Amino acid sequence: MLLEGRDLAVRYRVSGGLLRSRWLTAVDGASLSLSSGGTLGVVGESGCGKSTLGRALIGLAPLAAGELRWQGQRVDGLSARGWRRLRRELQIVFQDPLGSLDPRMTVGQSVAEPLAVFEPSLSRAARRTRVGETLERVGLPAGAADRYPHEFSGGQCQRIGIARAVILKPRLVVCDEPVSALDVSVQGQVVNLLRELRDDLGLAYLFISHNLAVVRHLSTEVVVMYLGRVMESGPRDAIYGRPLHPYTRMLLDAVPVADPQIERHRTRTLPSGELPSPLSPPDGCVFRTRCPLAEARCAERRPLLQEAAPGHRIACHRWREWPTGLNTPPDR
Amino acid sequence: MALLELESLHVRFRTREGELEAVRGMDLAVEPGECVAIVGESGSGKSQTLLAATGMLAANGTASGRVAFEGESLLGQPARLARVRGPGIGYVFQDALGSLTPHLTVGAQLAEALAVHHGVSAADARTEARRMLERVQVPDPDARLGQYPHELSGGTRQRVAIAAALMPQPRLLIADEPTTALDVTVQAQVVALFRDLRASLGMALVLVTHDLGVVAGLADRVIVMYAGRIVEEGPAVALFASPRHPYTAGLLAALPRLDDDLAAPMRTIPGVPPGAGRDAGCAFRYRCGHASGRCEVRPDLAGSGSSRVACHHPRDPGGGS
Amino acid sequence: MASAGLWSDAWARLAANRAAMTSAALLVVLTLLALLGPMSSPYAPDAIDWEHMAVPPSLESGHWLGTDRLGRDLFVRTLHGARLSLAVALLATLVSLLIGVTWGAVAGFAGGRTDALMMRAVDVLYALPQVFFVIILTVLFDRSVFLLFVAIGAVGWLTMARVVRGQALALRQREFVEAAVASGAGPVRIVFGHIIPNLMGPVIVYATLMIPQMILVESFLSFLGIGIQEPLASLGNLIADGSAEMETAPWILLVPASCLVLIVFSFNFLGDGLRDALDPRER
Ligand SMILES: Nc1ncnc2c1ncn2[C@@H]1O[C@H](COP(=O)(O)OP(=O)(O)OP(=O)(O)O)[C@@H](O)[C@H]1O
Ligand code: SF4
Ligand code: SF4
Ligand SMILES: [Mg+2]
Repeated sequence: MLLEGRDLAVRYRVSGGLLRSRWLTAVDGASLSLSSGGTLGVVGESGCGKSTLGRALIGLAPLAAGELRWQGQRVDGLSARGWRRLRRELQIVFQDPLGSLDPRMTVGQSVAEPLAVFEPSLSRAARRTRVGETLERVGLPAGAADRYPHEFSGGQCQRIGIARAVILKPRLVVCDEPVSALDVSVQGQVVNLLRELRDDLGLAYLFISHNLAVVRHLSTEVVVMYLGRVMESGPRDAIYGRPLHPYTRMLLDAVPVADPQIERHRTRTLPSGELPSPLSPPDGCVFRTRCPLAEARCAERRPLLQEAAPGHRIACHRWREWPTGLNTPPDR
Repeated sequence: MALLELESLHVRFRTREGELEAVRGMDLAVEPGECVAIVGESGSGKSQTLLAATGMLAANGTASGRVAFEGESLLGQPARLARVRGPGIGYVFQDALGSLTPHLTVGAQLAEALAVHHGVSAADARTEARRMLERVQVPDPDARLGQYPHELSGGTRQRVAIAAALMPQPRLLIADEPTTALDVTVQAQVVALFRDLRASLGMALVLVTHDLGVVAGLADRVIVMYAGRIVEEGPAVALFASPRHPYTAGLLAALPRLDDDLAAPMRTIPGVPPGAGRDAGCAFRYRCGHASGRCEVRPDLAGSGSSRVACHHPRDPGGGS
Repeated sequence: MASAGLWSDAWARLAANRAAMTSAALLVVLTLLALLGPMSSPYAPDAIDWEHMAVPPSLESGHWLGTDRLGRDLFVRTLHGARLSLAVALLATLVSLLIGVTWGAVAGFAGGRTDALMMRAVDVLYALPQVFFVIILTVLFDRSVFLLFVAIGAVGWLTMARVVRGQALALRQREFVEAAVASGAGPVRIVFGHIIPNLMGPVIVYATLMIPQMILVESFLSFLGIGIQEPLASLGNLIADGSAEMETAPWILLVPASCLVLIVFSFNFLGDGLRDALDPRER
């Protein structure tokens, strides 16, 4: 295993000036694993903790609990300096293509930053060559190095961000909503590039997105999150083909189909009510306030992740009662 | 008579880098009760078209051409615009928080929308506000009336913004990316809400969005914009089934779907979205697989009946993409 | 910095701004005049011309901006005053800049409790009436020009600290800073490679806008008689002098007052021009 996390939790201190503070549990009890060259998709709605989880896995957000192993070595509790040494192998691509590039640096300087940190002895000329090669690898002219980020379109800026992430040939790249800010017509370009790079360089991805159709394209495994908890995880085809958790099913059912004939006559089952505040999540099953199947025990006991099929894990008391293949839940 | 009519509408902005023409001649007619969707990439001029039509352009922008609501010209007529906004045309924005007044409670906000135009008493306005919240399926409407916009979730906020726009019972509702900031499940709820409201209130709806899935669920007619111009327009069913403009076809093909073939790479439109520059030919020709020498001259929007396309080599109407 | 492209963009925008460029040119001319001008004149700033006392501006008398009640040449005295006022303002701005940028940057980078404590201190100082504070300082210590600009600067840094802290806090949350962390960059590299260069724009703008404020504060204090004292000339005490003769010899007020107005407006126009030229939102 490249990366393995058990019962990971991340807490943020919110509000409270000098004295009082409240804590928000952004990720709670998340377990996952990722093998070399694989892609773990993380899906869920805004605020469910996807980004926080992705950042925590590479040391950009502090873990409050849990065990994290990178190539077998424990890395939870590592100091900032310890993490810095690992950054050669762990990189990230951000959601905001322009915002993740320093406006006062040339594209070349931004892409070269990891090189400057990890291979400071490299000559200027050698560094320039490496930057040029990497830019060309992501589909930009080598001459782009001398220009500034604001001269490029969103899709091109995302390519620059990807070039910076792969210039050291890392082993894991966290992609946090890498195509969400892009026009539909160029989203595919970036997804295809990521796929090629994975195959060429043997990268592994943690691919975070709220767009289920995009996640499906790249992932080998998928994790579904809700309010900081993992609801379901498993091989891609199982999650998309035989979703078991009520939340996963409703999430998949909500995705619109670009066909007026179908879309207009469709009835959906959607989560009722509103997303509870992450500051005071429901006890028991966090999804129970919106779940059409919720019953008394859902409030009493928190469902643990249990294996429904090899590698396919789900946190729900009643998953067996909802026949697979059907998209309408049985009566309450 | 059409409810809203735009004729060769142009929108120009003065910027540091010179003049920028965001909308380059839009013709559009919205009939009472119909739902028209305007789609296109970011920067294609979707929002500016409607902001110009309702007199809400930024200070450095100017609109020219003709805009008429129920036959009355609106362009450069601030008094008439003020009268039409609200009971004539309602507006819902992507950023619901930005469009609600932060220091007013939801109840006060909704009541105000009514009081301004109809001179209704405060008590009646409040009753009406409560009914409207129920109408847009806001959970626990009584509690909401006393809350402030920032205390609401994104989905509820958007519903409140819709309710506020609906209070004066507009004959036309313009919704600019109303679901873009929302999660899929909430988006699906809001789309269902719009469909339901249209059926019960009979208002016309102009929907601006880049999300073709949302369009499919709502629109009767679709207008596709590229670089400030309409490149294709037609009834939704026909346009989705057999797009004629290469850009429309490309956009539909590029849309990620849950049943995409995973063995193949994702379909895309090559190249980058166009900048603001002036161009004599077809703006799409740098990205178009069908471009020829003729495309150096800009094609006119032409066609029969309700379907029009601006392309020298339109796709076969029967053939799909 | 190697980010010359952006700076040169900003420079091009500034060059296109006529008001700002005119102001800059005026300031250069004024500064040169203030430094060299008095030498070109046969009069010393404190020399008394018994034959021409309180004469209005004229070429015949040889005092082409006139003289004051004691027959001192106003052209020379105003330039001397401008020199001193500018020097005090520049030094005070520099003091504000040094304390303010350091304080604000540290608070902004550190965040959390350190930040809260440091900024609370700024709030408390802010609440004190500033002029009062300067008066106390000048009463406690001996009166000197040096002390004067330290006193003014010590008050001026508060705004600078707030500006810088706000910027640093905002920058720290920008994705490109997180991207630098993710690239393996350490704190030093992040501060000097990413934060400071991105901070320079607003700091330059604020410093430019602060200079005229400082001049006004100095003038005000001198006007009140607790700043620069006779026989030294500053724009403030010249104006104080002139205002006593306003009805009988208005030029004694008008000459230094126009000079002050000219300087203050020029700096403001230049500052506004810089703000527009450097504003990252316009990109
Ligand atoms: N620095 C922070 N301080 C306090 N709370 C935070 C912070 N960062 C994130 N949170 C909170 O943690 C929770 C999870 O946030 P996270 O950004 O991981 O969600 P996400 O799933 O990535 O959402 P999105 O799709 O909107 O990006 C949210 O409730 C969020 O408001
Ligand atoms: S545990 Fe209960 S509430 Fe939670 S998802 Fe399953 S059925 Fe629904
Ligand atoms: S006019 Fe030419 S370039 Fe433009 S879309 Fe049609 S075929 Fe393509
Ligand atoms: Mg996120």
